[in-house]
Amino acid sequence: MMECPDPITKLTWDNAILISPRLAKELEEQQGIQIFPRKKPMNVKGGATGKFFEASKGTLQTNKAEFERGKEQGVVAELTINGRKIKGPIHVVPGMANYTILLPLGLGRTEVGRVGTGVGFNAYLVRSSEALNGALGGALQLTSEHYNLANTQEHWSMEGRAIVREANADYYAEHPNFANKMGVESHAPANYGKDDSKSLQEKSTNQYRGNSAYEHPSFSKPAPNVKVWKDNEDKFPAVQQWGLAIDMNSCTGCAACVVACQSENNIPIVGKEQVLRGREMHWLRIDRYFAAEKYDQSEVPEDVQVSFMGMMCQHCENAPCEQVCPVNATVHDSQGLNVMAYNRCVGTRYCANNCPYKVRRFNFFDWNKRKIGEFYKGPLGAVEEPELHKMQANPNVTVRMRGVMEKCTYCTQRIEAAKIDQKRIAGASSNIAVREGALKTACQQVCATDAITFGDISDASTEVSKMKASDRNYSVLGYLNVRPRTTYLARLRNPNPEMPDAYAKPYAYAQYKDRYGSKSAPKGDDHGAKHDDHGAKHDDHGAKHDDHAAPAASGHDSHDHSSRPQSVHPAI
Amino acid sequence: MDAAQAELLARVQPAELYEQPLVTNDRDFKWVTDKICVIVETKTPLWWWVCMAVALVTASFTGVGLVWLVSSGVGVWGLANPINWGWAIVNFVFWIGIGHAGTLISAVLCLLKQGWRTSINRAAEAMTIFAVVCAGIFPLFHVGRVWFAWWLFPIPNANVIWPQFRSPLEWDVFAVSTYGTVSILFWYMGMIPDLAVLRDRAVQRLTKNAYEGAGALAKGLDLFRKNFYAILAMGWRNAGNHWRNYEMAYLILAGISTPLVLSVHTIVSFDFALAVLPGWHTTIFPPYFVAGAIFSGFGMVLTLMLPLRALYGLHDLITQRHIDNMCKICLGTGSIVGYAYIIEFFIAWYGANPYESYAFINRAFGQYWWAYLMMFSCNVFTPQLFWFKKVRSNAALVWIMSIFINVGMWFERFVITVTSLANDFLPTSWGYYSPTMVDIITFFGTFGLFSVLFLLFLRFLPLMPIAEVKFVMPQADPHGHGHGHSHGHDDAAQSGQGDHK
Repeated sequence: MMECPDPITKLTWDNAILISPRLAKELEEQQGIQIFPRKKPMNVKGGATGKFFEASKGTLQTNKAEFERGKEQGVVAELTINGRKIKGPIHVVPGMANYTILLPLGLGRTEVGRVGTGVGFNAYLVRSSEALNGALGGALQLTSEHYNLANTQEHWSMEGRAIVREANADYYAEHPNFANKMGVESHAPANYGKDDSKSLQEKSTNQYRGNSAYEHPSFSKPAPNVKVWKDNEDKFPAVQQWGLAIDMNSCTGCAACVVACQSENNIPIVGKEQVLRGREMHWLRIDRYFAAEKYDQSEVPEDVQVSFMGMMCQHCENAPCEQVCPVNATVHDSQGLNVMAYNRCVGTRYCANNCPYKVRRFNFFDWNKRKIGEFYKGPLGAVEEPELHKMQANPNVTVRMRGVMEKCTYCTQRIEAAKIDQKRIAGASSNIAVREGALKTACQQVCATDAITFGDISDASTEVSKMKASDRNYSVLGYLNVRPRTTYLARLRNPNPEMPDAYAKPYAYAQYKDRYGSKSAPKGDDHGAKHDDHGAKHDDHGAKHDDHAAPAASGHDSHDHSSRPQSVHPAI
Repeated sequence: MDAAQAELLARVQPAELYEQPLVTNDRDFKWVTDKICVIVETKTPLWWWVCMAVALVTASFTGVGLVWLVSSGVGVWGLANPINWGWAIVNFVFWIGIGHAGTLISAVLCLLKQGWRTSINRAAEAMTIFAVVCAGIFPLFHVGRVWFAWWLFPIPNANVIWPQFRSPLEWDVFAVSTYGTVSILFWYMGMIPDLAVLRDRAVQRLTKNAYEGAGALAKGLDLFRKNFYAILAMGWRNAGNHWRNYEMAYLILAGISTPLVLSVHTIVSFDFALAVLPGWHTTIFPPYFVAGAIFSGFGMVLTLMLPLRALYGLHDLITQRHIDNMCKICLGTGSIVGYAYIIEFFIAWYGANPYESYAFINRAFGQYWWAYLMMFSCNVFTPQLFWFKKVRSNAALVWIMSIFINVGMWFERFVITVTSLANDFLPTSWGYYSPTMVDIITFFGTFGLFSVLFLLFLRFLPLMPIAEVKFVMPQADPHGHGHGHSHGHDDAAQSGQGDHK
């Protein structure tokens, strides 16, 4: 659990004094100690350089979007509340209320075992019986000390990219296809060639896999070349095709799936020092993005919307990892899984480099065999394989040694168990297809909001097929034509237009439009025909106006929504 | 030539076109033979021992780094997700690139009949081979389980598991091993007549038995030399048919090596170009890498040859003309590289792919701007100074600039490998790569390894092709067409070989 990143801060192995960006900025000014990362040459504002960067679509403002040299160096501060003092590193959280200080409790224990030693600071010290859950009048004094925080996510911005796709509910009602008209896919969608017009079910069984140079069997036909089974072909029903859908409408970012995955698949803990190096092993991670209304990374924004996205191996049908592995250690199987042959892996790590989703994890050390903190000693370090640890491991899952790559398998052990079980039920009959509901991946099983759906996509009646049939369904980085088996359902927000903080577009979407919105997209998709692509101004609704059938005079005062159609679509 | 032309020529009296000779000060064949052979035959100079000691200590760093790596895991390097390739691959491409000058000099310039190649080709070929040795260490040891690295070779096995022939890394295995093999063959074969010269000189001294002052050690050394070089010379007797076969074999190997000049670095560039990563997935990579390789290779040749020239007093053999030519090749290839840097930006913009344009802007101005600046200034601005004759004729300055070229080219590979990986598609996985001490000592040590090999080469093998240098001397062309050198090889070689018998 210590290594499971906090959903919002993405911190592991530590707690921190959480403050808002404005407070951080004021503290910086007041006390002259830098909290935010230094300015970078790309972040020049104004002048010729600034104009050049603004004009280019590749604008980069690393300034406050990324930690210095990839490490979060928290400024250590002393917090005084009612005369009690504690010391801890500061972590700035966009979206927090200004002038509020948040202290995660429960860390910094002194009487603990191996895992809890030296983890975080004890925030109970400022908690008194008068002020159990909150106290007024804290004072922060920055020190010149720094403390390394093991943050698993070094960059908070989506950079205006169409990764998590969001829209408002009424916008979606008018443009149900919006999720597939975003990003590079809006003009270069995944190309299925002659199968372009086929259904998902047909595609899943027709497509050749992993770009194989070898002849491949037809997955919807009986097993080939088995003469003894002639006239018994019904004994060989089509192989089931596994797929997964994540509904980002439901995902709360709680990270239960991360922990479930970790314990199901014997994923090693690597310790704070290795997390600091970016070597956490989670097969499934929750990507958290902050988006402000405007695309501007010269400051850490105060008012943000948070988007979560569970990211694990996408089981691409055209997997880029497979074709670069020099030893055939990662290949496709007939069920559409991208499988790892650990025994065959020599560890070139080329697959991980070529993975657009960066979901492959490498065993840089013998995580399972060596003691945490003694990895660098190699054979001279202590070997730690207590019986208890061995008993913790899932016996159905291989424990990986050092030097091999690993990644999400769609819980292949559960798939196999379900298949075996179904064969037992089927007996002599050919009813060996795993029934809907008999198989759940670990992440799916623990998802409190049922955001994860897994199943057979070659059967149109399964839940996952229905999810994938939704018009909100899209592939992340679909334009690469890697054809992921894991797809996402775009997130819809439903702000109350009567509220002062109502917004015309979710911030992530607004940023995307701001940076990459097309000027010349055809009418009918989400780009207005006369839509002007302009940066900071919010008058794009004037243009959007034209495609909307019923521009309404709305009562609320936000300039953003003066032309917003008053549609009456129910919340989704 | 008809009468009118002859009359015209007589009237105009065109000036003799002066071509700077390739061997200056009107040296004769014997001088050349002595000059090169004495380097090997003389007592080992003190500086050699000092350099060797330093080189051995440096080389041991690589040893320590690799032992640590293999015993603990790849984690001792600075790699992490998303930067799964760091210094190891950078160093691999760097060393492989350096080797390209040797092959270019020995193969392409041979086919193009560039006489000036002769005095530098042997050392450049040696450099190629030693660079390939250094390069080979990195892809071998960067894998997670080095004891299974042989799985990359297509060895028939009971499980009928083959390597994956679609992987550019697999192509690398073939490209680099072919390159290494052909380079060694080329180098060795070209050396056979010269090894025979060393053998014959030892035999000559033994026959004369003139060791009164020198004692038994000198005689023993000559006995060793006689046998050592006799084995290496493989029975070369300087016969006409030997030369005929030699010339033919040399030509064939030059023909085989010529495509290798282009193919090896093309395939190395495929490691990047065939990936989907923005910043790697670029069609410009093969020509850009090849130009860069030749650029860095000539940089390294200059780095090595200029001190050698000074140490051994080879100014008559490695003349200003040679330096000029090498500088001009650096200028040409450096300009190609500079053009590639610029056109990459154009294509990134023109391609209108946000990920791609981000990758390039980030390369130049993002968290690794310092590496890009280093690369750009060393590789684009430095060679432009070679336009000036004054710069080219200042050996010390040329040497310093050749170091800049080497540094710049290392940074180029760093920029390509690391910046593309650090900031790719999903911003959540972005990271920053810093090398560890193990990365640094392993790379540093390869310079020691390279130096050890090169010092051994200097001490035991002829530094220049004696016969080939003689081909390009005016004496080799008794018919007197200026300084033509494509002519009468056999005569020249035989007379050249003959004069010390």
